[in-house]
Amino acid sequence: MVNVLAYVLDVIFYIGLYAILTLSLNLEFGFTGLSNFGIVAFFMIGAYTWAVITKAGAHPAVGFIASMITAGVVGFLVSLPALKLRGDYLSLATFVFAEIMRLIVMNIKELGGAVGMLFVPQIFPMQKLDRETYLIGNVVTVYLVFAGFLVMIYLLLHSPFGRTILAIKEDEEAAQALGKPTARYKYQVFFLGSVMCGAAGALYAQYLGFTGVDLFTLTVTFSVWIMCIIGGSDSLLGALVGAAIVELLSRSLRVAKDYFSLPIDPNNLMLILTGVLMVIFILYRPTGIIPTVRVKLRHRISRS
Amino acid sequence: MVQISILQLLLNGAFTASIYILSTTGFALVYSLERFPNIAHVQFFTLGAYAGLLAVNSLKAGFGGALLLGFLLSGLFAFISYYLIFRTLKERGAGLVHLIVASVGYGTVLMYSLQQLFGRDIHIIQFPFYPIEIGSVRFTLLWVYTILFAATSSILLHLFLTKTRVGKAVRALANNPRLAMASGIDANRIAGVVWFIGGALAGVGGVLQGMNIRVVPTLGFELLVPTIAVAVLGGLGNFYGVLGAAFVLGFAENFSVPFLLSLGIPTDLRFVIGYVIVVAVLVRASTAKPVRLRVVGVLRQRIYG
Repeated sequence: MVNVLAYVLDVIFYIGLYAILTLSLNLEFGFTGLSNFGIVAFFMIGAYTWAVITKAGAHPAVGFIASMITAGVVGFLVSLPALKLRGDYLSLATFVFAEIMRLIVMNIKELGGAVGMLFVPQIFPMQKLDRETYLIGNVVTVYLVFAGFLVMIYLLLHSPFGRTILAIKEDEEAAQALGKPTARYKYQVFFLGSVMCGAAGALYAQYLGFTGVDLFTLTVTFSVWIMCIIGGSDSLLGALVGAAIVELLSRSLRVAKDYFSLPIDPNNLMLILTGVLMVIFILYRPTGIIPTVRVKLRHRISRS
Repeated sequence: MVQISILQLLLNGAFTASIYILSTTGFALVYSLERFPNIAHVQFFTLGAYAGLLAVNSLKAGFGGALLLGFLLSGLFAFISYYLIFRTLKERGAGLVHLIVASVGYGTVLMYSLQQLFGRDIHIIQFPFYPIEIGSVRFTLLWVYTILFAATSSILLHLFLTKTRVGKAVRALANNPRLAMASGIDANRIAGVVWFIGGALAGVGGVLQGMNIRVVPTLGFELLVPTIAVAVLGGLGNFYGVLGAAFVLGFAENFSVPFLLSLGIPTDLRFVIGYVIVVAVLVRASTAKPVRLRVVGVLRQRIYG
């Protein structure tokens, strides 16, 4: 039974990890309308920063903050030219950026090249603690971080900042006409979103105890987008729901393989199903499962 | 240091450019009508490679049969995907990101269905082309066919766009959809034709690339970023821009090899050079105006104006 518990905790950890990534996409795309298709790059930067800094002997807290800051700063630098682009160019530019970053990291010997970095320090070292403590510690950490970001975004949305980014999404020119420096708001959103991805990256690298470029392919970006769309791109809890649905679907198929003889390879089936889900959701329920919080907000704006 | 002759680099560049032309033309044509980057497009390329595999290894249809099957199958799939998914989305007024996400989903389904059907293993199309050596230049006849095919299809497509009624309708729809529809052009029928041609060309590219290297489920996916790079550099949705941009990227990738080698930098980074060009173009043109190469711009004006 111990194995079952460990498996369940592992699933819960991954749901929380992807929920953080999806939440950052909710902030960027769902609330501000920025289509970032390079999520995985910032995730990767977070993971590698953690690996480099903690391997050099830094305290985990320093490593965690450094991961967030590095990802955030890179995100900000990328956004400077990218956010001036039209929507379609922005999605393509971020897309291409993620692939460039992966190629560059893959060719830096100091970062382990194509193999990656092994023996990355963990917050809960697997060798010293028993497996349950390690798993429970990680799950608690990941959900604390998620909750922290959730509260942050909730507070942001209920502040003048939040109302402005929602206005940018609805009609950027109108927001500009009201004297809002829309570009500055978009840079800030991109910075915050990248910070969140960086945090997720650090958590991921320390959980696995290693990091490598193969973990950060375009597939991650696509998964996060699927979670975002299924959960509901402009709802806060949608991030968690979307991540849970996609992750549970993939895990249950992998488990089902052990009990039934599936005619289809479970990994293929899982990806085919998520693709089908994605198309069906876009066709029939583009707002996702969780209804948007915007209705409530709009109500508040009109009352005030 | 490895010595690579200029002629060899030119030939390598021309081959890479030809593959890029075949993979990007459809992407750009569809973009010009639908105004969204179809991420699933490169999967038509993979589909073509598997069609070629079936035609040669199972059906014993030979080189011509492989090209024909790749052309028809990929074209058909592109056509069907337009009618089933993208036309419906367009009619419901879906936004740019929704179209992109739907295409990502559709692409995932195609790619993993192929992986399910044929497995993850590497397949080799049993139609070998032996290397020919002339002086210091090594190549295969397949390369020559690929370059010829890319050139012919580009010329034919140009004639199609400028001389035929349907082709003119395509350009009219791309330039001003409302005016075009007001003048009685059936937008759906025209879009169907464009999706078919785009998918079919990618399919042929897949057959050729599959024969050149190998057939794997990720064959097209590997080309996704170069395809986007070429399309962006050519000025999204501009067919003539694609021709120029494919050569710029193809040559940049191949000509950088000796430089990278002499500097001791891994040659994998040659792909980065192409992307850096793209990012530079994007940054320079970071306005709402469509990006396009100046040379291509002149060409386009002469053709359109």
